[in-house]
Amino acid sequence: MTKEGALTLKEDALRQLVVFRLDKEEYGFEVSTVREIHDMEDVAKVHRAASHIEGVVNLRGKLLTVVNLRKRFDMKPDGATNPKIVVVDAPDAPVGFMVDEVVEVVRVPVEAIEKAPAYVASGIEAQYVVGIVKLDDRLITVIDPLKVLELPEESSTQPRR
Amino acid sequence: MPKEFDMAKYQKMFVTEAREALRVMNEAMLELEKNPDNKELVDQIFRSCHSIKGMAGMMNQTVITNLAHGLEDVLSSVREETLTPTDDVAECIFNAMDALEAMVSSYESSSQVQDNPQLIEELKAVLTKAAPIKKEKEKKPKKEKATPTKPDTTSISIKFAKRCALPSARAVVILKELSKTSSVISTNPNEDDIEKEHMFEELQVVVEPGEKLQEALQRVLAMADVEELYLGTSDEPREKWQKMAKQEKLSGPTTSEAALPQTVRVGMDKLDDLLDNVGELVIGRSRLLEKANVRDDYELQEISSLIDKLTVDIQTRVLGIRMIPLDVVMSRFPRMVRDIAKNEGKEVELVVEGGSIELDRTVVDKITEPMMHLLRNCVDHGIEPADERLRSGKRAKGLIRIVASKQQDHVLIEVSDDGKGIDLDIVRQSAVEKRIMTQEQAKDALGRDLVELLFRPGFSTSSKVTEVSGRGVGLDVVKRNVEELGGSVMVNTAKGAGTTFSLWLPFTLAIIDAMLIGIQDQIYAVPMGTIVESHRFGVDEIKTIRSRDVVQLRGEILPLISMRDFFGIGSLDRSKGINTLIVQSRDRRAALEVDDLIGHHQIVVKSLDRRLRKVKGISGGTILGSGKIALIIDVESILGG
Repeated sequence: MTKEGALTLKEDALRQLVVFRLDKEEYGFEVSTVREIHDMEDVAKVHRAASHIEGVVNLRGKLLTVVNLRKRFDMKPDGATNPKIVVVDAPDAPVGFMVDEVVEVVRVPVEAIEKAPAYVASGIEAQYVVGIVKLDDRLITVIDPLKVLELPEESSTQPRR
Repeated sequence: MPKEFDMAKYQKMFVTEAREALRVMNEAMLELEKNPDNKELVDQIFRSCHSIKGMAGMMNQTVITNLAHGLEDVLSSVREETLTPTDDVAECIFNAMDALEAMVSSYESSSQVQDNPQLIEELKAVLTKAAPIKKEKEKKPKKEKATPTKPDTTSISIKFAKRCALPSARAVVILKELSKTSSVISTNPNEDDIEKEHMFEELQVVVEPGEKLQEALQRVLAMADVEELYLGTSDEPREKWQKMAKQEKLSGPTTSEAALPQTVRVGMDKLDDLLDNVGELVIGRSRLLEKANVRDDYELQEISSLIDKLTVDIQTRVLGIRMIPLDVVMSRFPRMVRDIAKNEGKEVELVVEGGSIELDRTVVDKITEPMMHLLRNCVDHGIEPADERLRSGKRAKGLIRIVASKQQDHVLIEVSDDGKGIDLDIVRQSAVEKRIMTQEQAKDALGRDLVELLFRPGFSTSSKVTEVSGRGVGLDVVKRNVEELGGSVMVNTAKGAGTTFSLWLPFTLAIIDAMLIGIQDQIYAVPMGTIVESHRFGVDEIKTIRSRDVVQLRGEILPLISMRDFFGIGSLDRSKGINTLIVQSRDRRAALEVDDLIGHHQIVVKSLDRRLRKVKGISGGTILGSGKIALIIDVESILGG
């Protein structure tokens, strides 16, 4: 459905975004990629898995892998008091993204999604950052969750170790 | 055929049924080659061919119809004994069957079928070789011999079970069934009374017997509420009537298709969904039991134990539905081995045992290719040419055996040949050439490690040991497929004496027995099949060898693996002793140190996301009664690395 950064291709004038927060920054997924929002409870840790994998949770009888987006983006890994899981339809099976908080669902005109400045979205980041939305004084980074999943296992935006 | 018919459905049905018919033909043909005089086999082949012709005709597949027709002509000459089904004739029949199979496959994938006029010519050419009829044909067809002449009418008495609530309804159904094959003359009670729904325990029917009355009676006997059935000619006194026995499904000597239970074809995906539901039910049942047991409510406990019993029933049944006998795949092997052997000018006999063992459909599907590969291996480079075999004092004909057997919670399939075995020196040489080992390492390497090399991707296809085969699929595929199923492969070989491949497979994938254990704050499940026993060791029993922890159990030294170390989490205070599970994978044993042993449970195996499948130490997960997840410990990967 949304294989190729669908936002840039669609004709409709409005886009719906699920806006969520990581630390102090706001991000958005296009609503059509999001299956549901889930509470973060009873996570089974998978030791020896890639470090950005938070673990697995029980999603109505199936095992859902949860990616810790803070870790995936090399942000300070903890600090969220009541994190949520945004469940996204990936091609083979749904995947969860752990976020600090789901803020809202907003409608924005297509034109409001601007190309990200080169120094923000360069190199590997350019692959998953769709654009930036300015909403009053807020800045929302729109990302394509499927592209995030395609990032190489251990390497992250800026390799640290 | 009217347009509103769902053609896709019929296409599918045609493909499956044609394949089944071809399978039967293949099997019978192989048998027939050994016993060319067996009339029954010829009949069977003929019937199958005929039904393919009929089905293809219905689907408007003239190409298939024509070929089947040509084949049928040859078969009918064989049946009339003007042709002997050996050598050229057999070859030609086999070719035609292969061509039919190929046509069916291409019909399935593209609905297009290529004509094969050459083959039809060949079939015609075979026909010209037919000798004039050798024997006088028996005047009387067999059928009449089997059924003694009958008087005009037969009386039937059907006794209903006492608990039969609606004998009238049942009687109507029975009369309908009987009238399909015979004409009903009279009944007692008569049809009016039956319609008035009076109660009665016995129904008497006088019929003019038709050809298939016996089959109809069997169907009546199989109906619910029908207790006994007596049968006699109408002029006989009642006491002489014979009681008709209920026929067990398999004991029937008749091969008639009508005796088979009615079946419904169901897609595997539907069974998968059903199994998912059952999995949920099993989990729900556990929760219910947990709750009911802590409450002082007798009624609740009674209900929950009823649900428990029903759940176990449903689970066994659903798993049973998914089971298919190994024969479904193994029946293809004799033909395959015959062809490969013929190609290579070798003589090979294939013996198959244990084909009736049933495994989950998924397991059977996944092992077909590996087994075919192993068989090719056996013929290609296991079995030597006849002269070489004779020189080394063996029978000229090579022997390949497939033996399937039940072993506790696993099925063991052994594929063995009495060929020349794997030459470990060649493996050594190849390992050095491929820079997998140094000269010294190779010299010191044990047989086990060398054999292990054969399973490496890329190793087998290019090494001298197996280059003869050159078919692209290596032993690595065998290993991978088997391991994906949670099984394992072992090889035993002796130079000059042969090779045995042992495949250890689970019966079913979905629900397994497991021991729940605690590590840190999480619960894990260890499959029972890998556990030898549990044991508690005191701190002074832990020794080290070259700074690795070991323990001893009844004299056996076992490596001690701490699961906390394995997972990279802080270790536990050992001063009061440790809990361990003694586990085994293939021939390796070790003691796994865990925090707590919780207890034995049945768990529903759930697969992990693609991203987590490679993670060492974990092979899947399950959902516990509490809704929490327990990951399943993969003992093999822990012991292996």
